[in-house]
Amino acid sequence: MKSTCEFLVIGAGAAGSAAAWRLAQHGAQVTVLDQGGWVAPDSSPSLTIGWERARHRTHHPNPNIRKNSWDYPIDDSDSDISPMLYNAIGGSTIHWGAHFPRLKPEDFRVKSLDGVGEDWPLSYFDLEPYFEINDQMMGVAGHDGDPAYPRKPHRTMPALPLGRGAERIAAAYDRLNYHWWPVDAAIMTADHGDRLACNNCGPCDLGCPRKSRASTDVTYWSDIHASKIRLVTEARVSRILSTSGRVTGVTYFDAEGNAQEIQAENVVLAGNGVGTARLLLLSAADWCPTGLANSSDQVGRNLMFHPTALVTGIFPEPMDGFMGPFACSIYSQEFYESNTDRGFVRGFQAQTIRSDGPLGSALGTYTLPVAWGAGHHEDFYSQFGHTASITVTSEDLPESHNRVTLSPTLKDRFGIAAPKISYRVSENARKILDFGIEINRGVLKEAGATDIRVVDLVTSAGFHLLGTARMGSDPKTSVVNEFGQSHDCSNLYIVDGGVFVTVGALNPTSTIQAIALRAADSMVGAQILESAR
Amino acid sequence: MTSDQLFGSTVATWKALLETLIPEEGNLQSAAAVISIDELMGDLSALSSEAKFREFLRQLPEDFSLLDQSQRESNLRHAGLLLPECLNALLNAAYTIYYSHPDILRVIAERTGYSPTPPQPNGYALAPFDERMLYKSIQRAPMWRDPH
Ligand SMILES: Cc1cc2nc3c(=O)[nH]c(=O)nc-3n(C[C@H](O)[C@H](O)[C@H](O)COP(=O)(O)OP(=O)(O)OC[C@H]3O[C@@H](n4cnc5c(N)ncnc54)[C@H](O)[C@@H]3O)c2cc1C
Ligand code: SF4
Repeated sequence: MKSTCEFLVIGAGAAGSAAAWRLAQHGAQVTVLDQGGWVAPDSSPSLTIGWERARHRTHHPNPNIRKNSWDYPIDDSDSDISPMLYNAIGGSTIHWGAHFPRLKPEDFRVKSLDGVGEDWPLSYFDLEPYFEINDQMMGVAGHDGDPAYPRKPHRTMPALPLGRGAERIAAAYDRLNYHWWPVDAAIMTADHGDRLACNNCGPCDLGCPRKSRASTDVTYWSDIHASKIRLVTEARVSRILSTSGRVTGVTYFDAEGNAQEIQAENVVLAGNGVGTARLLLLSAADWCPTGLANSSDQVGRNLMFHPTALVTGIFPEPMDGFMGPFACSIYSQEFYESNTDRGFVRGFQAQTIRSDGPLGSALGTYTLPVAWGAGHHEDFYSQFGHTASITVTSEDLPESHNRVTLSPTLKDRFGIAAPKISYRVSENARKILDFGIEINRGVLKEAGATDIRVVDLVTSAGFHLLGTARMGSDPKTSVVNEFGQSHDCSNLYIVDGGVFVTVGALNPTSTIQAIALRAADSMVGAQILESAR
Repeated sequence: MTSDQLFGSTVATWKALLETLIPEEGNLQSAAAVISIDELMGDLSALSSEAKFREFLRQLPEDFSLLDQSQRESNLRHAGLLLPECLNALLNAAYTIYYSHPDILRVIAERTGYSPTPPQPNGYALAPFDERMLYKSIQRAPMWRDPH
């Protein structure tokens, strides 16, 4: 017998976990399917001597390298940037860095303010109450008063310490009169329940045995409301079933590889900007031959990644950058806004990142590798423990040719077509990166770096998978409305980063989750919370 | 190992390749001294296609292992220009195995003070955040645009 449910959520990552939790809190009957399973925090390789090797093999953020059985392959041969993600309960938050900025108010009005992209059908202030619920659920350390934002609620946990590298960079920013602030981090700096304060160990991307770094398996899924959710792990959804204008359920392969079907009154998609687009395209039917929810032809299009460059300073003194959460210390939004004199629109976020252990330093995970040959050891010792880096995260504007399609040849282990990514860095983004590189060369020089190395495009920095099912008021140009509801199927919702209309230049997860929580309220007809402003 | 398992090459050539990438220096052993060819081949097979590697190895002279370091470097650079993905894979495998080796980690620890133990469970002390550092940033006017 086919089982049935009220809300079927596909994907238990950042967005799906938040949406399912909120639906369950409202008393809805919720089933969640994810193709991955549980990853025990204390199974992290950071507890083992081979931790760095694991980071570059079995725990690599690129599914094409990691190739575990929960993964699906991605054809990225036609893309300047490779997508990074994780498939598990917790989704990509199993691997993420937990840098937790929100998009800024102006990011939702790029068309009106800067004449590019599109405006969103909702505003920062519409999301504000949901940012706050999400901050409480994830746990955020930070420092009040960042002038780059409208006032946020008081951060009850202190910001993370900067570390030597960021201290030098912060002092340089001060001398140059540039903005900087300690980041909001979804990391505990004080004990709370079974989540212990961070002990500064470094490789958050390998998982956090102390549960200090938030991942939705240890945040949303450990809340009492989540216990009411039926969770099916290792369930790869192969197709969303539909009749004209309504979805009716899904088919999936279970852990044993058996085909299963489940009926649903509503389907909520949270498979991320790649997984969701793939599934919508896989779900084409007679009444929607180009893909489900795709009458606008926007499904899969407008993929945005946030192209990133990395500028690394080598300092004569030790910077001890292998200590501390690698992605979280300080950021600068000095060059975030448009300034037409610069020859491009919009700008970049400069995020200081710490460095690596010996292997990561040698390989140059995101930086340049250590030279091989006669000068190898000298180059290694000049870099290891002596670097601090600044990422230039560029605004990425929607372009319809940057997209996810289905690969005609590549398939996953169940025989389902894999996604294919076609993506080129735009001329505008390239100009932003070049400008940002020069600015940050200056910053690192001012900070005392004696050698500066640049990666002008970090091809492995495809962490943010956005825009492939964008929201909007017009069904002709968008896939869903401001509540993630499909224009074509009123009982189909999309709540992941695919719905982003534009992406600013900031890490997206806080905004993704706020959107998911707000969408969940709308799904059950609950009152939509309003900003106190 | 058979020549087939060595992608048509010899142990001597593979050892020479490792020696070229990471030569010995002081108390730091060369990659050839710490990496077993078995382990290298296992790692390489996962990183790149065997056919490409055979082609890559064909770019090297037969007496590659007999050349001096600078001659080997220039031969390897040339092969790497033709098939960069093979040189990258070789570098990736060699660095990965070398810098995971306990003997090498011990030397690095002696030279730098870096602790060769896993990051967890001990971690490093979490210093308190010093808000006095923000003396200048807090003086800035709001820098976000209200679109309304
Ligand atoms: C290494 C790394 C570092 C990052 N650092 C940061 C950071 O510092 N700050 C930040 O804001 N963001 C960061 N990110 C990005 C962040 O992780 C994502 O933005 C966020 O997790 C996206 O949430 P999501 O719910 O849309 O997708 P995900 O979290 O990716 O979850 C999608 C889930 O859907 C499931 N799924 C997909 N398709 C199917 C299917 N067909 N059947 C069943 N299940 C399916 C997947 O298994 C997965 O669990 C990072 C990402 C990576 C990889
Ligand atoms: S640095 Fe802190 S948050 Fe990151 S894994 Fe280590 S203990 Fe966890």
